[in-house]
Amino acid sequence: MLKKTNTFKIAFFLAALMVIYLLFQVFFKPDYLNIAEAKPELYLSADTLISHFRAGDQKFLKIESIVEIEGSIKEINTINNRFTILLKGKEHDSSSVICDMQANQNKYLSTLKPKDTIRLKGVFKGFLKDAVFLNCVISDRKINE
Amino acid sequence: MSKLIPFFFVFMCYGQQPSKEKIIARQGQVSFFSYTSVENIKAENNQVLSIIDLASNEIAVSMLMNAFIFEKALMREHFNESYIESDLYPKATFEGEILDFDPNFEGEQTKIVKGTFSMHGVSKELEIKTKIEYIQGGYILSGTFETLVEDYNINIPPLLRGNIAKTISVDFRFEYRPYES
Repeated sequence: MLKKTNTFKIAFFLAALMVIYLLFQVFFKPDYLNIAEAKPELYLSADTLISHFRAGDQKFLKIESIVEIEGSIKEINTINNRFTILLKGKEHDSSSVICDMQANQNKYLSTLKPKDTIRLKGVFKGFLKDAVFLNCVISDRKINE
Repeated sequence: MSKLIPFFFVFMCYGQQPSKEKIIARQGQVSFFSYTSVENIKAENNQVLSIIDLASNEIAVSMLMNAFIFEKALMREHFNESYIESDLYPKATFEGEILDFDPNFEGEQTKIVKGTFSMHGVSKELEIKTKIEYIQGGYILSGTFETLVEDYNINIPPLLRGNIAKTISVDFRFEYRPYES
């Protein structure tokens, strides 16, 4: 009888721990997405992406979709203390792709320069004058792969 | 308001002609804070677009509501899905004028920016005290203002009412550069 009560107490304790863990996961989960492990829904060039939006094709890309974008670096900056890479569209096109990089990508900041061709992966948020991507990481996939 | 229409038409068409009279901020920062005894909520958007026409002192701001970054994922979900409904109202905009602004003054000035702020399908007239700093080739506009949640038709469930302040404090900072076509 005593053994049965102990087993029940342990099970109850483990269940309570599990509930606390789940609640903690739901309420205190940081706003972070492991984008490096995520599979892109689409592979695009910066040119193609910008051309579609400039042509008024606002529904070309679904909001919140994970996209891998390849393009030439127009600018790298740290405005607002955030590592941001801007990819350029076609020649004479003022629109660009703005990629707000994840904090763990800061280590690459010194290795990149304008005009480099790069492949980035991020979450598409929408289009203003530029296409906006958040949570961006440098993609492992080699160029021309 | 009618005199703003041509400018915003140009703004919406992304302006094909180069203009030294326009300046642009592609990565403006807008952050908001909600302080309550239950919890503090802070979020920031670092890709806010703004264009100023220095010839007319007109200013336009546009931001994607789903581009706000929160500390916790649940806060972002509630903000986008329940409060702001960013799928229905994806953008917030401000259209207005910087009153008595002298673009040729190479120092710091504090001016009132007056205009219409639209969010969640509701438009409100705002007057915002703004610090304007001249920097090499551009300007930095920054300031703080407070706004009421209830003004924007945002429904907060009774259970969560204690978690969200009635008055939200909004900070902004825009670094403008010459507009490139």
